[in-house]
Amino acid sequence: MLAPASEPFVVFSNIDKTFDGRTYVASNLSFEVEKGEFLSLLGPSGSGKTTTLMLLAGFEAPSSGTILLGKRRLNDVPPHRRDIGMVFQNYALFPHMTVAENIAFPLSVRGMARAEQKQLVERSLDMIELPQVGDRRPSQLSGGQQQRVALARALVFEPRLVLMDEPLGALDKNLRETMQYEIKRLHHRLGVTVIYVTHDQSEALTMSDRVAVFHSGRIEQIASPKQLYEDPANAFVANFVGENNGLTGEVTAIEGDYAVLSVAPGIAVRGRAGAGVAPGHAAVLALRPENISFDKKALAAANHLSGSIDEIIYCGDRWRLHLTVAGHNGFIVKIPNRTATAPPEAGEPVEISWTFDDCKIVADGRG
Amino acid sequence: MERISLGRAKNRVDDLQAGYRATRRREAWRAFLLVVPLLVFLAATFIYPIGKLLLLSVRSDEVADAIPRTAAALADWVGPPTLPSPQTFDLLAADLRRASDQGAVAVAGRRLNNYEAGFRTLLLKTARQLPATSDRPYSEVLPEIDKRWGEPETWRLLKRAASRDTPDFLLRAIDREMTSDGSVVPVQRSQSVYLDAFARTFSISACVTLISLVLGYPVAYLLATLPARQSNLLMIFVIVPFWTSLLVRTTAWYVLLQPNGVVNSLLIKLGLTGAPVALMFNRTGVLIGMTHVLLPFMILSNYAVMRGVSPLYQRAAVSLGAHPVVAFVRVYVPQTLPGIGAGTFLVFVLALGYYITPALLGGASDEMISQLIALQMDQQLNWGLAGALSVYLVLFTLAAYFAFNRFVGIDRLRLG
Repeated sequence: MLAPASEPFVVFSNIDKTFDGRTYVASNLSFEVEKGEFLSLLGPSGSGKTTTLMLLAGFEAPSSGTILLGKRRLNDVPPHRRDIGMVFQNYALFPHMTVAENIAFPLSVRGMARAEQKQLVERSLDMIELPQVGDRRPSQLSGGQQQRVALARALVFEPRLVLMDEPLGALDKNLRETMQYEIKRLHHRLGVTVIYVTHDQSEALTMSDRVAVFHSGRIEQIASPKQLYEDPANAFVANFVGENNGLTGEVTAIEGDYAVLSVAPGIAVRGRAGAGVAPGHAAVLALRPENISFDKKALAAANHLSGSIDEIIYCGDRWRLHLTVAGHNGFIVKIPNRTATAPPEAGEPVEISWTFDDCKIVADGRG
Repeated sequence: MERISLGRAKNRVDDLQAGYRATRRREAWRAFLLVVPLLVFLAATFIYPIGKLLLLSVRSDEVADAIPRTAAALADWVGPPTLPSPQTFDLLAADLRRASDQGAVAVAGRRLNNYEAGFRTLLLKTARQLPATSDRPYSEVLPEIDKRWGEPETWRLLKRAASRDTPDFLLRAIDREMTSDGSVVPVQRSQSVYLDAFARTFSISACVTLISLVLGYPVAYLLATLPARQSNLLMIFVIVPFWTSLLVRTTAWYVLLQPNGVVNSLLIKLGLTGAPVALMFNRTGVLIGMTHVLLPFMILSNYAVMRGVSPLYQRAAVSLGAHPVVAFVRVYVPQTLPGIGAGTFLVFVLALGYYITPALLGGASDEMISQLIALQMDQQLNWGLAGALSVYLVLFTLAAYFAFNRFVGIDRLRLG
């Protein structure tokens, strides 16, 4: 984890954005980003994450509220004076310029001497490990290479902040993973602050220091990946980030740090109580599929439920089981695949269990 | 063993290549068959007549057809200062007698008039006054009919006109002529019109192209960047004039630009001018009319390219620190160069051949080359000169194409 800096570097306070004067694309956004932090904005499409990025880049103006960058109010600074590097989804490399000219572009518009430009371009090409492509056109490069060039171009003028708008969206899966590590490595090395928009939750979890989960123009939760996954603030976060067995029901009691949720007549589960959970209100279970065990004797202080297996899917490193539990089908269990042990059979009735601490009862969100 | 398998591998490769070639041949045949009807149509209605007209610029058959034996005899004559042999006089008399029956004398006379005014009259008069028979040699009779037959210069012109291949039209079309000793000299200042006309055609076309670009580029940009609904609506305003007949539009300007027409009354009402401004029968009228007619070509060519240029590039440039104006000039405009190239080329080439608009809206000093070609064809009936002027116009257009292609790459353009 990052050592907390004394001053927040980017500050959004009470930002509203509306395009038509009726509906909010961003509503009362307030968050802070530390210097050197890698923050991901995660959410489904239309949730306001890209709008947030555009507000920061200056291509959209907030309807109300203030954006600060390094204590300076950004609202009235035109986009070309913000010194924010940006990487676009389709790279946006200028097709009529060579790779070297592309990377030199931000330097040349800043009036840097040619010799100095050349030196920096060479250093950038070395940094992205493509020293030989300077004279080529972007169209002669592969998608991954174009992405690296786009990165180099956004970093070469040493911006204070780098924004990335789904930069890996157009790449295939393997290349995407390689590039994720590459971006992480560069972030580490250069110590630059990055705000990264993605709709891919695994990307957000693996790359970020913190993740902000967007939904309908609001931030549902902003936290570290671990916290987000294991301690979701509400039903939306629990269901959106990772897979969740989101049984719904009514809270019947709060006992200390725990809440009791009735998921079917006569069936109740117990878990850590989330904020805003109160007896008599609807709530949702946040339970990760890998936390469920078939070995009931091993667990103390655990929920025990019975169900039946509908389907078994072989995933190589694990088995994925679809169960019907407490009258709900689509209950997911993942068990690691150890070659020696045979998995349960489909159609078998099973007993499943998980500890109270491995699950959380969260408020139904929109209630 | 190994050798056998190697041989097999080679056979397989040969089969593969043969199969590939056969497939390609079939595709080429199919493509060819699809364009055959158009090719036939073009050959019959376009390539053949145009080729014929262009050939006329170096052909001169009228005189040789009318007086074939004289023409053959004259080919051996060494030229001034001597006169042709007496037999040539006899042959001419015989030829004229025969040709006047066929009415070919008038045709030959018109051709000869291109060299010297009055030649047609001379020929017709000679044919008319020629005695049916004569005891005396025609080398005496003809000079009596007209004393010009006693001058070698007359015979020189006749010999020139009687030769079937001639450079004269091509020379005349650039205000040059061949003297009696075979050297090429400029024609008299008073007769030199065509070089000026070419220069005028070029400058009018260049002006129209430039004005169209300045007016059309921003409109194309607007069309390409507006949301689809507004853009489609605006597009109608561009396209409707495009669909309207050229003549109708030119006539409309004819009405609008009158000294007491709409434009002038508006200018006077606004107090911009006291008296009507001359807006037609001069260069202004030609430029207004031609620009209006050709503007859609400029707009549509640029629009086609601009639609394919993502606004994201400008955004990226701005995010990298470029002022929006710099981003536009350095990132957007270069990507639209193929559109600018295609638009300016289209407008320039179409303007080169313009005819109706300058004829209706221009004055005497705004004649473009097409008007002169038309004049030679349907009033002077000098198809040779018309052909020669056309040859230069075609060469000029081709030169423009190669120049444009070199600088902006028209063949890189993809429409739509």
